[in-house]
Amino acid sequence: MIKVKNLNISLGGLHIIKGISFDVIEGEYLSLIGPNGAGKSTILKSLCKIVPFTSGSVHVSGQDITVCTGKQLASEITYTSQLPSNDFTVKELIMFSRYPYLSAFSSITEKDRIKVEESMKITFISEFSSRKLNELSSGERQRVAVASALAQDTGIILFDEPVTHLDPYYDSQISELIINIKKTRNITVVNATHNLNNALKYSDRIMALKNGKIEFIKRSGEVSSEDVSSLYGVGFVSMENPVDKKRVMIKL
Amino acid sequence: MRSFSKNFILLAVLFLVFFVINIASGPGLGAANSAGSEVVNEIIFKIRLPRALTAVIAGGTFALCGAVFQSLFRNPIASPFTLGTAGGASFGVTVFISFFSISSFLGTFLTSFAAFLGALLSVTIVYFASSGRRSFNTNYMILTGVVINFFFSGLILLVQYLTDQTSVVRITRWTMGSIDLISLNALLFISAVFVSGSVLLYYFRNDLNLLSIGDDISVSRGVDINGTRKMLFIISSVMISSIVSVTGPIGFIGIIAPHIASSFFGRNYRRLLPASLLTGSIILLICDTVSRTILYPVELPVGIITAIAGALFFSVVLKKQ
Repeated sequence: MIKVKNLNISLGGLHIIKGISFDVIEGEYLSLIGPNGAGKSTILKSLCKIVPFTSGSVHVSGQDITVCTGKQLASEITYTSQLPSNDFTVKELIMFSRYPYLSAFSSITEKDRIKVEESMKITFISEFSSRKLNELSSGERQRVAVASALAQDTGIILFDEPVTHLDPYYDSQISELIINIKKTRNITVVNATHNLNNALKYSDRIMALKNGKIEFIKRSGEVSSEDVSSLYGVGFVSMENPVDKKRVMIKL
Repeated sequence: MRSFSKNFILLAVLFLVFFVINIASGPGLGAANSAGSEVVNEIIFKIRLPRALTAVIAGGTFALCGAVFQSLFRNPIASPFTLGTAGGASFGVTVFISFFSISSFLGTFLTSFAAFLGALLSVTIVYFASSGRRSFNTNYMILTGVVINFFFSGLILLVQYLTDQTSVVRITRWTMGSIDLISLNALLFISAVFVSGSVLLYYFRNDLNLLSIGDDISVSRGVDINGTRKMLFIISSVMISSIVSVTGPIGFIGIIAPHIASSFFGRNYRRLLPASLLTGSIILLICDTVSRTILYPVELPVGIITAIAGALFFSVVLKKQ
């Protein structure tokens, strides 16, 4: 699905990503973890040309992204972070996700409308579709962000800290939402997160980054507390969650 | 949705009403009526109608370009004036007026071209002053625009100081901004630019929506942000230049019209573009009517009215927010 080879990114004279190579397999859930400034966001952004890379290559769905047009790439992959504040209504904003399929003088088609309605239904936001984005709580806003990614109808969705700043209720709501769409629609998910236990619980593989380099890529079941302790520089212990028998890690 | 179409009908009615009032107001029609319908026709079709159309086109252009700049810079006070585009265009025209005559059709075209070069110069300066930075820093660009405005004002004064008396009067009168005494050639020229420019801007309505939210979201939805920005700058610069070369700088409409339009039609550019256009036209039609009647029989340049009324309106809006 995604093939990254020897990726280097420099921004403002700083060498941020230092020769990274990795693959993302179709239909998998890959979590990106690592300390602040490790380069998680930068990698996600470079995969859909928000941030240009200095050298190396990125292929998405078999195509070299440097030769794709914006619309071509946007029908394969999308990036979702916290939505900037704006005056549009929820429905309008989600309709903008149909951009890759709109041509200049055509109006919105029935298919666009169906996709938008469907995305709002799945994310439980239909009830406030006519409210303005600035009037929403951060939990509601985050669901709108997920809905707008879904409406873009891509095979790959890159999430940039989708549950940061959310309370435990919205945290699990959004996390469950992401895992559900991944399973029901076979969407490939790459998720940059600080929530270690979410990463352990939901993802197939975990890629750890530090100082612009890959520390490890492992199946989430194989990540040990030592791996994580050395990654973040603080001690962690691993335990079994008594309810779902999945591993959790607790910071010491 | 239905309320938007109702608003559009209302706006169209207002447009027609003020268009007719603009043509009917001012001295002469009553007196001319007694002189016969031929004189009335002459006044309406040769003087009043071209003037009202100029108001429609100029107001519409400033409003459209204001709305576009507000999306590009993600700033509610971005306009062709705050960013120095109009200042650059004015400088181009000033230089042209001091050295050449502008009466012929070729003259109109060349004045516009001089204005376009000036506008392009200022857009390029703003663009490059803020490129080389990682992100498109909009506050920085607006500050650059303010600096450029001062710079071009200085240059305009310099040209005025160096040139002969007649040119000084013409330049001064022109910088006040007015829509009277437009030749048929000039009207044809600005109409052509206006119609094609408006259609082209409407073509970019989806891009404008996304660009007004943010760069990251625009790119991830598939907008070619650099190419689109350049295109939009060029289209707006051509439109602004063609108007500024004919009417002089008429400020504030670019900020106020989109502001009013968005409070009735929302910020979706699919509606905001046509709504801003009509609102801008209406504002300039009203201002022109006022400028002709307020000190009757003396007629004020309309730029003075828009500047004073615009500043008052703007401070009220600022205070409210």
